[in-house]
Amino acid sequence: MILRRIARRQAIAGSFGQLSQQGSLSSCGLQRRALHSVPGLGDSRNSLGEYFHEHGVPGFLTRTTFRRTWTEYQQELVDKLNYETTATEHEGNSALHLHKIFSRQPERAHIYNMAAMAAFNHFWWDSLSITKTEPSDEMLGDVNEWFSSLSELRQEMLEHGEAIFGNGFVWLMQERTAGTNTGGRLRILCTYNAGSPYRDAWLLRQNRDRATNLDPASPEAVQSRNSLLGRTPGSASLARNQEHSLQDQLDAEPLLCLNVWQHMWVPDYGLLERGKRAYLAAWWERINWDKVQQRKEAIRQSSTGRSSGRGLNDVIRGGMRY
Amino acid sequence: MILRRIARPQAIAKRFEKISRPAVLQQRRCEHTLPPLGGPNNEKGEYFHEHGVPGFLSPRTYRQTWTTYQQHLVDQINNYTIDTENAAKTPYKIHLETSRQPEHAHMYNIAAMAHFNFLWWESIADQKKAVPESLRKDIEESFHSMDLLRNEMLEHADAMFGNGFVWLMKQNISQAGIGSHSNLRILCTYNAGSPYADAWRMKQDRESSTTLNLNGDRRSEMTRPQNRVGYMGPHSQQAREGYHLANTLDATPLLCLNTWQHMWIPDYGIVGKRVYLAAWWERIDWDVVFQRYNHAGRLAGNGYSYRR
Repeated sequence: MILRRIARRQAIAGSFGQLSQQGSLSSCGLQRRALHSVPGLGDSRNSLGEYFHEHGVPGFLTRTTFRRTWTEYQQELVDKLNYETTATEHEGNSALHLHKIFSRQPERAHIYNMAAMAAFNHFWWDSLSITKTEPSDEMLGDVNEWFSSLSELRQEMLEHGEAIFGNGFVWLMQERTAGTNTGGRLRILCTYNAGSPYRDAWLLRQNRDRATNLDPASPEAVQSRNSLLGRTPGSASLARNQEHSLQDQLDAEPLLCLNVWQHMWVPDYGLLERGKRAYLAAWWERINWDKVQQRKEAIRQSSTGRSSGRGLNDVIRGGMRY
Repeated sequence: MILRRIARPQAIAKRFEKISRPAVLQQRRCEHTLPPLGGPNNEKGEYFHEHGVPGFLSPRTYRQTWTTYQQHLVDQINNYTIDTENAAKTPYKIHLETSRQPEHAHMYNIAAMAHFNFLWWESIADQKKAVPESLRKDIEESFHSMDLLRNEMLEHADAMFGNGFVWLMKQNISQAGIGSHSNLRILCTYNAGSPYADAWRMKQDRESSTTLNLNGDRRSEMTRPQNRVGYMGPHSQQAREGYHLANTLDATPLLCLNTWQHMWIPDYGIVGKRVYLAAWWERIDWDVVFQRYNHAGRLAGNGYSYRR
């Protein structure tokens, strides 16, 4: 059982079933300074967010999905973070930083999940584009070196996305190479639920399916999917390319994420496997490769060696709180 | 429901090469189909198809999460089991067996979801129903009141992060010398974790973010009461506020609450989970729960009335 501050919740939220009390804990009468707020997308004027609000992500997600999974959901996460951290030692820290701290406190699992989802949901929506974009030459160079081709990377990320049962994320990770300017090795990592790709939250990486304790890229997991789907052994690229998966290795930063939480794809694509596959294919065409390049540059510029405890997003945004 | 014939002789023949089969594939009737809801004529299913579950779920959600989804699961089971000895086994049985076979992890997930999805839809009613008296009495003994049971189930479900189920379980253990005693407990399982004793390896009853990855298996002190001293003493199960099941050895699921996102996101949105939970409580088919309650323990281990 996850320990939560049930008594305080009950004092505020009243009973179940009252939608007017949903989401906005700040309306309960506790006047608190809200330090976390929903960040703007695209720039500080939220240009991208405004566009998505009207048009969704054309060819990928409807505007209803945007409103539900960003506008409403991020607000709910932010409200909960504020509620738990205001007037505590954690006040003022970003969601990214908070999730690393709470990852080491098992009794704070609930707020870990909220902080992690706030950070990752932002990372996800920040990585989407209105139109198809192309990877930079530098990025393409890295991809060709570690994945033979862009289409090979696409295939593997999509296969990882399919392989996750339930909710989670697929991350494209770049290993840190201390003291050099060259891009480190690229690898793929799956995390379940709100498992974290960040080194400092390694205790809650959650890269293994809880039913089997297997990473979805492991040979046994691949085999079990192949045998169910009637594929010949070795037909999935996951099986051929084990070295493309990060699995338990630590020293890497995320460049890109693919969100396979059900709330992202079920409303627009339906519940079936083929719906999920269509979602994955459509996602590839709306990756914001400029953002990926920015993150790549930030990895290169950040201090070498041990992580300072600040996450990559903090570096890019100059430590803006959200 | 439409029965599909799977005709992929080459793929199937290759896959089962190691089992000696005749070279010419025989077409066999698919064993797994959608079970009817509410009676042999699928009365409840027909109603839900037209009206959804009034006040709870839309017709679209019913069709998407039962008609289409269950068929999808069943198709996958058929693909997997056709021409094997598993073709005649229920999803319930398949999930029990594959729970011990990591190389069949994906099949486990599919079979488990097929079974649990059926249990879920079977225990939904088209209107509010009364709780049969003897069941009510047992609930009041275990949980002090129906309201407290409601609260416990809903709070557990709200607290669960990600997908899973909350179960009301009846322990089959009888304690000599004690008359009727409370034996109903709540259990949470994540994803397709199983509440059945025989699938204990796939119980998945802990929130994954409370399980540290350190040394493989350090668990949070906070996820379970650590002490089961005595029966009525201060540290006993009775005295604890939490009505958790410590282990699923010899317990039967009576009722499940489905917290998978696909059930509630389409009709309620991400921020509407609590409203979904409250609405569910008003549409429990207590007659079905009562049937399970009466049969529990008599045919323990056979999965009695829900051999689906």
